[in-house]
Amino acid sequence: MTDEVPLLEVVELQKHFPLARTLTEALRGHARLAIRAVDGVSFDVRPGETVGLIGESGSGKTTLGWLVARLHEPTSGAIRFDGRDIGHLQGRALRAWRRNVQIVFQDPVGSLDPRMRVWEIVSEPIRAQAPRTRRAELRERVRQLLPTVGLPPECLDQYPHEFSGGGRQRLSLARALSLQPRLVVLDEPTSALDVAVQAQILNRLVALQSEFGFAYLLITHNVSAVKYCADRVAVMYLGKLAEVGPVHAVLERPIHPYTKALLAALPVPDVRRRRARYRISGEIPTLIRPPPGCRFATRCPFVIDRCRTEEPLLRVVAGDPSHRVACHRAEEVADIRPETLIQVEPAADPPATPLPAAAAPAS
Amino acid sequence: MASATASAARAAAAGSVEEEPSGSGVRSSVVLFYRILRANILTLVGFVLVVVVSVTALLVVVVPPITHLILGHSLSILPYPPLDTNAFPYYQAPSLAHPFGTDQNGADVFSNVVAALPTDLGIGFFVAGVSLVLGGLLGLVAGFWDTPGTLSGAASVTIMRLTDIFLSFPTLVLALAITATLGRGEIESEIAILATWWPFYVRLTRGEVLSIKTQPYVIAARAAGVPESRILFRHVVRNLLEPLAVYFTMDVGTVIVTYSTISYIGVGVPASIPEWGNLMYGYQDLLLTAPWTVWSVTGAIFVTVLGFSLLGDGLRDILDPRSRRIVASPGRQSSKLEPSS
Amino acid sequence: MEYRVGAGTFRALNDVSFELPTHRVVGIVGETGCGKSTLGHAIPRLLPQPPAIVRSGKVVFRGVDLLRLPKWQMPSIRGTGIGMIFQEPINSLNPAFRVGDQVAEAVHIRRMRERGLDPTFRRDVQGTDYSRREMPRAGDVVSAPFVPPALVDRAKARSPPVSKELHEEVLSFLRLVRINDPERIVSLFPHELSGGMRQRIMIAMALSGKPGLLIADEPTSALDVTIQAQVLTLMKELMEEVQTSILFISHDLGVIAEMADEVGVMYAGHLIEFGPVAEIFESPRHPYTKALLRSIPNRYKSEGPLPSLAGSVPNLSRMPAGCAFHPRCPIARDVCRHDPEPPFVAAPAGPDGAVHRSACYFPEEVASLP
Repeated sequence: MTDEVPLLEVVELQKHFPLARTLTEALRGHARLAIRAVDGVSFDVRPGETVGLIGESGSGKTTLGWLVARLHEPTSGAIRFDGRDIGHLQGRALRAWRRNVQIVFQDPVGSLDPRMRVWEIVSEPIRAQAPRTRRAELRERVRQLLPTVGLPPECLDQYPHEFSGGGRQRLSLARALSLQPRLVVLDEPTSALDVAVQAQILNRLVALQSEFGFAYLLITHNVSAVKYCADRVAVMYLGKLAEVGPVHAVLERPIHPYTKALLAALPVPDVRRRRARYRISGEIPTLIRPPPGCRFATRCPFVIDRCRTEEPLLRVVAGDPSHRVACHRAEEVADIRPETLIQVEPAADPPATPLPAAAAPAS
Repeated sequence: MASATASAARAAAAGSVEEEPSGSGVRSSVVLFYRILRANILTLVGFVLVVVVSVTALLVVVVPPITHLILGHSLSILPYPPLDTNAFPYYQAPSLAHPFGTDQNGADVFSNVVAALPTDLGIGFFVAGVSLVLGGLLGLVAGFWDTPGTLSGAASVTIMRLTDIFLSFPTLVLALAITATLGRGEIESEIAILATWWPFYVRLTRGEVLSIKTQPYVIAARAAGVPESRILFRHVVRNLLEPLAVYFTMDVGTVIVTYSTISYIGVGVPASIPEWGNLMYGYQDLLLTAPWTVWSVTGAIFVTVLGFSLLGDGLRDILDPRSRRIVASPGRQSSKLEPSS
Repeated sequence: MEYRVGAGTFRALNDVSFELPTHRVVGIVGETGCGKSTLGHAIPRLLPQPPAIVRSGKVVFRGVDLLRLPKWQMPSIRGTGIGMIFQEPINSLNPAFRVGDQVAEAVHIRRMRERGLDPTFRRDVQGTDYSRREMPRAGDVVSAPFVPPALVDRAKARSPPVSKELHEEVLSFLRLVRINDPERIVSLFPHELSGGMRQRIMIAMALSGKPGLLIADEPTSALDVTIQAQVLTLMKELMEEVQTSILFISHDLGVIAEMADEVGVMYAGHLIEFGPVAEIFESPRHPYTKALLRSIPNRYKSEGPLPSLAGSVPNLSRMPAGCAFHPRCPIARDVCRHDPEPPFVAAPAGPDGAVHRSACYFPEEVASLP
């Protein structure tokens, strides 16, 4: 893409979780099945940028985040950090590397040990990397860190349950930033928060990034959070990337039918655009036996026979080398607006454009 | 309650920091403990019962040798020597001289019951304590290193299957079988109970470890590069202490009941040692003729077990920092710290 | 309406009053802890008492004050009078029964009530028996497990004639919620269904009581967006087909904007604004509503920071004096800081006669806020 060396480069990464077989299945010689949570994903994150990873539940986005933070062992593929493959680091080398990548979890309650005080929680990564640091110094460093995430420094000795959800998420953030990591994986950082608090946290994230130059991998199903924070967006569906590109391009002119479906599905607080119908039907298939061919073929309104048999690869579409899409019909469907997939009420609105040929929706 | 503005609320939150300072020295812990006891009357009852029972037991054991050392002759806090035959008229109903009456041998029932206290309490603490340490350690190992396909995983499986084997026998039957084999005696019967007791702690500990291990804060520690051994102590063991302490406290009472049952059947301590099960065995025919004998022993067991149960229940609140704050500062439970944007 | 917890008392709901007209959708929106779910549970008296205490107020449903009704009469209101849909369909469906049996139970109860009988769940329903078939093997696609058709047929064949009719009605309700192959679905357990499917079953159960009022408490919040859009579409269509009033509780302003005819905004146990959906979203008359609408993130990083509302919702045990919102309010003045609370007053009626009420002393100034 660019000559700049990416901070993080993920190449054909796979993570399968094998399922247990019953005895009869083993005797009958059934193959051992696996949940193919991440099934061949490649992307990169450059220093100081935010990549938003959008996907619904079961898309494998959280697994991907955990792989990048080396909380899972990859099944195959490479994870390069600063050009070095860290996918198979172990023991001491892995622990030392961890100072580079930190992670913030969704659950503001569970991600903080209820029996630890604020300074112990926030200083835990520092202590992990430098076990000999004195207690007074740890407290001092935490005291200085707390204001950067918007918490009063006096709360050093409080327990996590004394904070609201937003406050706890700030604590998680402070813990992740305590080592000045190069990359922070944000796993649904605002999903458990109310909309007003969410805005505060997102603002804080962006401000911290411009101050300290972290790169973020923002994993979420929340498109508006990605819109505000991200420089580039990757859309994930059933363990594979459907579309990758600059945030403007992907959100304003989505090409992959799944991206369109996702954007059309967002409830918009605009009473003049009340949807009467949403035209994507069907359930999200499971990751155990994903459909052959294109993963979205079972729900895609633009599906053709080729989609059901041949797997589309990520490729550059419409001239922009940074915008890649995994769709056989990318050129044909590129100009269809996401709004086509919904029908707006009342009937006074212009009739919905008919979908292009071969658009018999799979029911 | 205080009608405060948001800024006042923040000030109050900050105030609570000053009020209960960081290191929370011994004095503030005591104050906190007192507040918690005061807030929950049942816990207070349990606490008082346990203290009374334990102090009495201690005095029974300690006073004679100490007085012997100082005065040259032993004194006892017991009004009369226990199991002393023909000291008094038989079958005397409770009176001022004999608060629990006398029994069929003419011994003072009160002295018998109190003299049994150190034995029973000691067995309760010993069996529950050894089970806690042994079962806790095994459970910790089995829960924390349970990755299949590794050596430690195999150890985990072995521990758990062994536990299952022990658990598959009815407790009392197994204990009886073991005492029958080892012979009658205090140590022998304690080993018998112990053999049936530790598996429960393995189960409990392993279950807790498995759930703590998957908490996001443990994953977060791992992501921060905290070594596994440190995760084990700082997160897992620390969060394990509360449920184990609660279970242990309540369990002391259960051990006492079970042990009394074993002695009552006649395979516990020798009949010459005062012990509640033994006493019960001696008094079983007196339920109609001299009921105070039976009721005294029953009452002693009941009060002791009740005390440990109530205290155990209350410990849950005392050890949990979440409820600590609520009790410690009434009306403050809500002082959520709110950050500025 | 108060909650009693420990030594303190929380006022979870405070003088909340509104009307829900027949065949309309009223949306209730607010942040966590504002009392919207308490409201939804207080109407059919589903709050556990204690700790909850209803201090005063009325819930008038079809002319009857539910709060004055003897306790034993409440079950006859729930289900057939007022139906409920909850957020987590996996918790609201009994994991031990096949979904067909659960829908059948709801249908059965309604039918017995229609006949004026005691709807004890007995012979009639058990006869449907969506039983014995193989449990799915690991590896089966959970949303579409394999069921040999022969087994389904056999189950149907065994159904006695009385329940055949019931079975048909169960199927018809599943078809109503756009379940394509109800014959297969009835014999599945809740855990074998996807989240969207479970929520459809919940809706089918709620509708099968033919309730006059449906209380939907965050019905799509646990679902993925594309599935949420499907379920919302379904609910929209059903509103046309099944004539019922809906109280739609959600924290998502987008969902409320899409579903509701009228909207109530709640803050710290108070209903602070109530009016037609278009009015609420386009010309709010309370600064909190305005702030809430503004804080929805909808811009790129390059367009500057997101507008956000400083501070947080006051805790119900330590409410500020006067207007509950005044510590965070940009237009608060002295009058707002002292009791009494601002009255819940109506704005001059608009051209269509719809009433728009708000609890703010200065509703006209809200429009000029950024």
